[in-house]
Amino acid sequence: MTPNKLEAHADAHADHGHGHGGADHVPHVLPMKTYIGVWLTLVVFTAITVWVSRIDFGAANFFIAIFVATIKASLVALFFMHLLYDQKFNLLILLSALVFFAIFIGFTKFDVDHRGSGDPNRNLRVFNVDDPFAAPKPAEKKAEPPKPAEAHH
Amino acid sequence: MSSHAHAAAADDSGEPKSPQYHVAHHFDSADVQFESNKLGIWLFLAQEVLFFSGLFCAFAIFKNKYFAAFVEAHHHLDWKLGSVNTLALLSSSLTMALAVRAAQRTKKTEGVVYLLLTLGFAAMFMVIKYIEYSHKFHDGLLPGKHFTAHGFVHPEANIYFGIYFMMTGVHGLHVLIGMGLILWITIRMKQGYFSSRYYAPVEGVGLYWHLVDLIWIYLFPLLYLVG
Repeated sequence: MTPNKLEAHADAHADHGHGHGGADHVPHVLPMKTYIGVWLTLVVFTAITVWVSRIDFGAANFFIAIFVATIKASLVALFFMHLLYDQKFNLLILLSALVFFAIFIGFTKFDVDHRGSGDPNRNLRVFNVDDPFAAPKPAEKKAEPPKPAEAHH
Repeated sequence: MSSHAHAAAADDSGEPKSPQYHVAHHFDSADVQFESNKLGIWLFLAQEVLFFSGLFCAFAIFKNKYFAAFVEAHHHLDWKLGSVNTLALLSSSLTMALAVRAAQRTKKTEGVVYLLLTLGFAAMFMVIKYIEYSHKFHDGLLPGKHFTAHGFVHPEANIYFGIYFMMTGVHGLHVLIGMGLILWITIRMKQGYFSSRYYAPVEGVGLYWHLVDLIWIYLFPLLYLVG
């Protein structure tokens, strides 16, 4: 047992002498080395993600970056945000938000990737469904209307 | 032990622990009150994730659509400044977590020091963000019709900067709001409001602050690194 754990234990007892559900809330204090360890791991993974980005893995670049970011995010959520030790309902809330996040992006990507693909008249549309966000073409120089003075000659 | 019992209600300087604290009558116990408080914060954080999901969605769709333009545009971001900012936010998360830990152990001075350190790291993040922004303003790398930079092979590069400014701007706004909240918590901590009996506001602000860090953990590789 680390001194920190003992300290937390002692604090809980000094406060109440009875466990959860008593007159006071009893904090669950994590040892200092857990926080320092998590922070060091986060710094190492930041270095890894920067280093890996200098190497070209083609299409895998994106997935590697997201994978490393997700490891970092999980460490922050589980330890700094105490989800590992918390009521599991809080974890459920976060995960359900992420599920809807995935549905949102997934369905939007479906739409954009396949929009108009079932339309027999797609080539007749004024709006180009294949490139809906294209930057406007550089405006063509409008022919200057002939000046009245010149028109007389 | 009587000395033990006496220590129960006081912190290390002999002050009573969170004298203003009480369990509201509609809660069964102190634990129920604490957990309800935290549940509310988590629901708010879920909303925050969904709020940012709109921007992440825009980024995903446009990046897919104009990949070459995004690769070209992202070279205008300084990955070194981005890395330093990542370290600043990660460190601020550590000190915030340690401030919560100090509050849990009724260590008032320790808590104030950690909160001030958190504010320092947050300020460092904002200063670097300011340097990055002014550099982009100077180069005309602004969103939409304000995009005046020349020499891009892909004209859609302005879409990248539109998304960049929205994502980092809204994130930066969260950092500023977080700094305000941390300042409030620091003052309350100094006044002796928090102790092992009552530290829910410290924990709540901490959770919000970690979420701001979480968002940046994804923003950094997506905007600065992935080509």
